Amino acid sequence: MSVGDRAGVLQSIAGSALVALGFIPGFQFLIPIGASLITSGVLTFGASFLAKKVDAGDDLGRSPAYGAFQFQNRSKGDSPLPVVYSNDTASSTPGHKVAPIYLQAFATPGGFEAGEDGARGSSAQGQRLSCLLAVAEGPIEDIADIRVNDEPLFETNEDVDIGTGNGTKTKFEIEGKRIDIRSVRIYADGVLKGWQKSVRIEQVTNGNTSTLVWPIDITDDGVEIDDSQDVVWYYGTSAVSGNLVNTGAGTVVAGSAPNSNPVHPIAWIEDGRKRLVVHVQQPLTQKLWAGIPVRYLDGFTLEKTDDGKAVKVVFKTAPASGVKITASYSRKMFPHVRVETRMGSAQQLSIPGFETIRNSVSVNQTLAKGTAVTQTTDEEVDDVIVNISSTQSGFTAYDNKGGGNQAVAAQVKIEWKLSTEADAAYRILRDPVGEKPEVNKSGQEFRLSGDSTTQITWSLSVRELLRRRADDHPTDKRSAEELAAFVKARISVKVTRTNTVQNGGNSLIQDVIEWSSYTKVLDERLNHPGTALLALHAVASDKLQGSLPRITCRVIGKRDVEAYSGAAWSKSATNQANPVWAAVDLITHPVYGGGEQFTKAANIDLVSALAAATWCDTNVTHDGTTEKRSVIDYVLDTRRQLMEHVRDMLAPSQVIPVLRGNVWAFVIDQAVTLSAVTTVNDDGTSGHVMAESMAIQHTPVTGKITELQLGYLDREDDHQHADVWFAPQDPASTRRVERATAFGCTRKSHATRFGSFLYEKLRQRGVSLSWQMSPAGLPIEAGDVVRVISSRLGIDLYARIMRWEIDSTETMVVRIEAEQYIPAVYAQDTSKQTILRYSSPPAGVLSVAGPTKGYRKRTDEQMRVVKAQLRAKIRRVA
Amino acid sequence: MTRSFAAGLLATLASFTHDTFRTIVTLGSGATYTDHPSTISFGGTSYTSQHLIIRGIGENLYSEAPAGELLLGDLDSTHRATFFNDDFRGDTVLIRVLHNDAGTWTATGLSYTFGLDADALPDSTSVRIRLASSDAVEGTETPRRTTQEAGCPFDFQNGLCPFRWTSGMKESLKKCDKGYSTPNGCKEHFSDVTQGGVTYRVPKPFGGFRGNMPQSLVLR
Repeated sequence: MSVGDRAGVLQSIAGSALVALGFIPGFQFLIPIGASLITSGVLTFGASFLAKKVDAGDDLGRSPAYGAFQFQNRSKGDSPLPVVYSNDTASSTPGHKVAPIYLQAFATPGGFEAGEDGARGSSAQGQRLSCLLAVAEGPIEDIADIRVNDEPLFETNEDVDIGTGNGTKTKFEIEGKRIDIRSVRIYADGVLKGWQKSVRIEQVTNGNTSTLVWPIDITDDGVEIDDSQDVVWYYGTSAVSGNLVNTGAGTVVAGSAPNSNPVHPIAWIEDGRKRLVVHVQQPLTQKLWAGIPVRYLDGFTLEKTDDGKAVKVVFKTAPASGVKITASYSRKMFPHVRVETRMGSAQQLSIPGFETIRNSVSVNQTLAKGTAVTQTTDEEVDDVIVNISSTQSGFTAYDNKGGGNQAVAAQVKIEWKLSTEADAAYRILRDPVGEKPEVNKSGQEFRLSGDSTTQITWSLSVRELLRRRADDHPTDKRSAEELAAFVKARISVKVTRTNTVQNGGNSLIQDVIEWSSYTKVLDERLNHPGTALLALHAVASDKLQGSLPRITCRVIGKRDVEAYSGAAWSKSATNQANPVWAAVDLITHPVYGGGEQFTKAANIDLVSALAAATWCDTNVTHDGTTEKRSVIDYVLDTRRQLMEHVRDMLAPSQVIPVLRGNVWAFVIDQAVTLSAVTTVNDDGTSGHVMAESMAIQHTPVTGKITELQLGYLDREDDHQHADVWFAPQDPASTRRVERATAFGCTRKSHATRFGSFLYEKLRQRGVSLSWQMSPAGLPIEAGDVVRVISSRLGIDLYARIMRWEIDSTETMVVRIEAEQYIPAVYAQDTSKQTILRYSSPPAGVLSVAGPTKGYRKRTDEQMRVVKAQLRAKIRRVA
Repeated sequence: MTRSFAAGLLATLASFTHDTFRTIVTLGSGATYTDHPSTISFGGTSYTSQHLIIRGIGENLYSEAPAGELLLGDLDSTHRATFFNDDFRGDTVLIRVLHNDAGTWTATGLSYTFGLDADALPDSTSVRIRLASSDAVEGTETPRRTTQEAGCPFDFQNGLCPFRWTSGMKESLKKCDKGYSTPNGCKEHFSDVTQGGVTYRVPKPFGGFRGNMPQSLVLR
């Protein structure tokens, strides 16, 4: 379904006559209560909390994951950094799709071409795009399935047979262009030989030294530092001993478990991935070891063939006869692309190429021929990028005879000097390209050409141009000297237009340019702690050009979610799949959650949390498949109140969060043993109920739905919107359709299970009750089921406490509101439902455009067949 | 008046008997039940219990938690003044309701701890103290970090901030102003190092984003 279709659906659904959806749809207060309670907010929330629906106009409607326009990258701005809870280990593709946030994106000029007059002109040929994106709050487990403009960046190949050993053969080949060598996995008879991951232990210092920086070189062939993992530190006053991890390819030091250390070393990688530099802020008196994460090849090397069409696998010792050699690898689907990721740990390493801080300074001065414009940076910088723009009217020569527009050009001279060279002459920034630059004077201007009816900007990095000229012309002494002279300093730059502006006399030509701004560049290694990152370097191609690409990926989420065992908390990446532990993490996390107010020790009701978490983990059988009742797969990418997120993420588990004072408790909406419940009596004889305080309200027929359309994101369909539709077996004469969204639910089976429960809940609504009681009747808790008797009202039924509150304004009284408890809701007799998956409403239900794929394609006759099949299937399951 | 006096006064005034029920409010982090005396002396003046109303305290399954509040009534100007300029945010109160059961004060089931949401709000006759609910508390929106502005969101010298001040370092490094190249910023704390003629560019644990840290509300 196209985005436009989807928006149309949302509009049409939102515009239909929907009943409110909630634990007690349309619940209304029955008795006079304190003014503080009667707010429109109460009614609104009460109507929609159990399974909120997403409307195009609200915050969730703009959510990159749940909104109408899914998975569009946002730019640095007021964009919340997503929190991802997703690690469905039962899935072959664990993780949730996200659209990361652009933090930096810049293009590096490609080559320069000779202009027709001997000057130089810029070109888009070979232009490189560099993007840095914030993926999610870290630390996360992994980033996978990266796509650019919806095309996979990599093609994954698994278990490819590349040959069989014969005892003498050492060389094998993986055929294919653009194979990512770092992705290659070689197996011998199914045993992984590389790249393998390990931790290499290196002693950094013996203590008692004033040295602050220690470079550690990895000299072994086939071993490199794994920059996606953190260095672990070990220190002590004596030699450590114990159970450090063996690298299999380097020095092994037995040691203890990692210590908390007082010095907090900082490390970074140099020389590719072969040198780790360790820095401490004060001389160490302790011995220090670094546990360096490494990847290594066990007994073989990998090398691309000269023609780039294959990768050679060369074993040092020939595999034995009959040993099957297989490879798994990824192939880059875009030319000249490089991707780096960081998982968002606190000590993660910075990403090469994005180690700069860039700040723009406006200039906004028109460049007229022969008139220099000069600017000096207000601080020491490592580079200056000169940004020259056309006007909003564009940069072109219009042809009023219908022959099409023509390119125009402006020539500029750029000069620079350090502010410390006050009396020195400016140096001319020269074009890097030239056959004999050491004698050719013509490279002293830049030709800015273009043909655009809208504003265009040229960006020229002084340092980049100096570096390229020096690199391309190693015999040019002057180029080397100029590059050496360009050091960190306040820098003055002078820009002069050297050709005549033509549009003064001819309005058909737009060739006015201005020095619009310059960008100050400071080289720093910023590691963006706690933020999972994705960096992309790519060369412009037919697949990648024009505006910024749309980049998506799949995030296997939070690595360090804690679960309570009944005795202690423990961290694991798999805990996040449990909705309750994910919710507790969100409630108590100090960085992205409510940790400023709530802690696990003081603000979580452990008993109810553990019970609810166990409820979610309990296996249920669905369509013959046994699976956990509820697994969460949720992206928080829209800033909302903490309680709203927690409610949404727990709703598909039939778990309801409730605040008891400042303690979070978790109520499971499940069947109860009725023989064990408390009785309250309206005649004042039991439960401290104030005599004749009880009121009852029947649910009008319009308060009950006949059909439910439950939306979710389908993990089997790239997390696109999908629906499950519930309708009575015998269609009602008057249809009342409700639409809701199951957040964090990405399995069809889970959506069907929850939807079935919700459907029964909403269509079997009973009466609503209220009464007053003395505080002496406490404790009573929201979620409790009680037996309610009133001879005056003629009722004897069961009800679930939905709300209570105490008020001492006049007399000390507790006001209770409850909803009739109907056991049949929990029995979920699915034989009375028609469950239509894949978003297929019963025939004739809607006259508006079908909500999702498949609906329009099916005729009424086809629908009848589908319904019959589903009924039969449901009966079999039941 | 001092804050401690206001806190004491709150606790005393909030021990109030209403019909056959007694409400007891105990102020302070990790508060535990204390049956306060009905008067408190401060500066030679004795203050006695005043009218206390509690409302909005309870539980709610289908909406935000009730926005509970304590209302201290019949207060003179001296009483009310103690609550001006005192920010109780971050404190907790333990609220208990006891029942007079044939002459014996026995606990009811109401014994809840609440966070305090904001400053007390004195008016012409009373002081209103709002209790925090999850929805009502400012600053509990999540996700908290946004990419709006680069800044350090982490606790200085704690957790994700690896800096540790030790003797021999500049005194000014004991502080952090959460900026980058600001006077007490990240660049200052993790300055580059020259050793053996080589200048090493030390990574900065910066580049995070500010969170919307909770701000105290002033309801005046």
